[in-house]
Amino acid sequence: MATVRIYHEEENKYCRVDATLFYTVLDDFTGQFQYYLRITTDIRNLDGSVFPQFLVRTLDDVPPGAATATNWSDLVDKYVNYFMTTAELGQSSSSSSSSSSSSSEEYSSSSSSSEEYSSSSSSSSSSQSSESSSSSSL
Amino acid sequence: MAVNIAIYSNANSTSKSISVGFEGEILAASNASSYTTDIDYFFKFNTGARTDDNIALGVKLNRGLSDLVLNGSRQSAANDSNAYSDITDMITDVVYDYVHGHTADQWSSGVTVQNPMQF
Repeated sequence: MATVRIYHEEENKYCRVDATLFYTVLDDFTGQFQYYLRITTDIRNLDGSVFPQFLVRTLDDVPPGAATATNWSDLVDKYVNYFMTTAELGQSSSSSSSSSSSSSEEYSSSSSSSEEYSSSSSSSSSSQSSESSSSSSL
Repeated sequence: MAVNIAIYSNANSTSKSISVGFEGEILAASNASSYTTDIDYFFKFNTGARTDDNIALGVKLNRGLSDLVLNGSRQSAANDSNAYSDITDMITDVVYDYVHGHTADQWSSGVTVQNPMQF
């Protein structure tokens, strides 16, 4: 399992994004075991809700609005960026009610490209005051 | 948390294990032309099994679905240079390569001789 730790300077706390290899029989396959990555985070949405877990089988299984990943590092980066920007992590004010619409259901494939993830995220990421550091644990 | 895959040899009534996990680490000399301190994320395969001439089988990494097991250029189970279709396809082929090994330059991939797994 790979864990990305994100330090939130203003609140002096850590958040994490975990990517874990699992195998199981998924209900959209015909009885055969499938391996996949499960992406989870303890970052909360602006409204306090939890993010869904994301199931990854291919490099197309990226967060909403993101383009296909080029490799596993790129894929992890996209999820970390998605969680941070959607939750506006590091914003001094979190009063905005925008963008984090797809909550609580389990998400398992690449999403439509029409979501406003990328457009709404740029401003929040550029003004983040928190520094992020990532590390891994086994 | 890694997944352990057991391989049973019917002929020898013994089994070996391959572990595979998703890791994030800084890679040194990872067939790169320059060093980086960036953390890379990849699948990491490991086994305590040995080849049929008693050489330890090494760690194998997978950085993406186009990172094929034979020198990054060919799949092991077939003469195929296409990217793996998904994680399951990739893991299946890497495990195949551990178990069956391959001959030198198999599928013109440039790999050196590697023997099958010893049971």
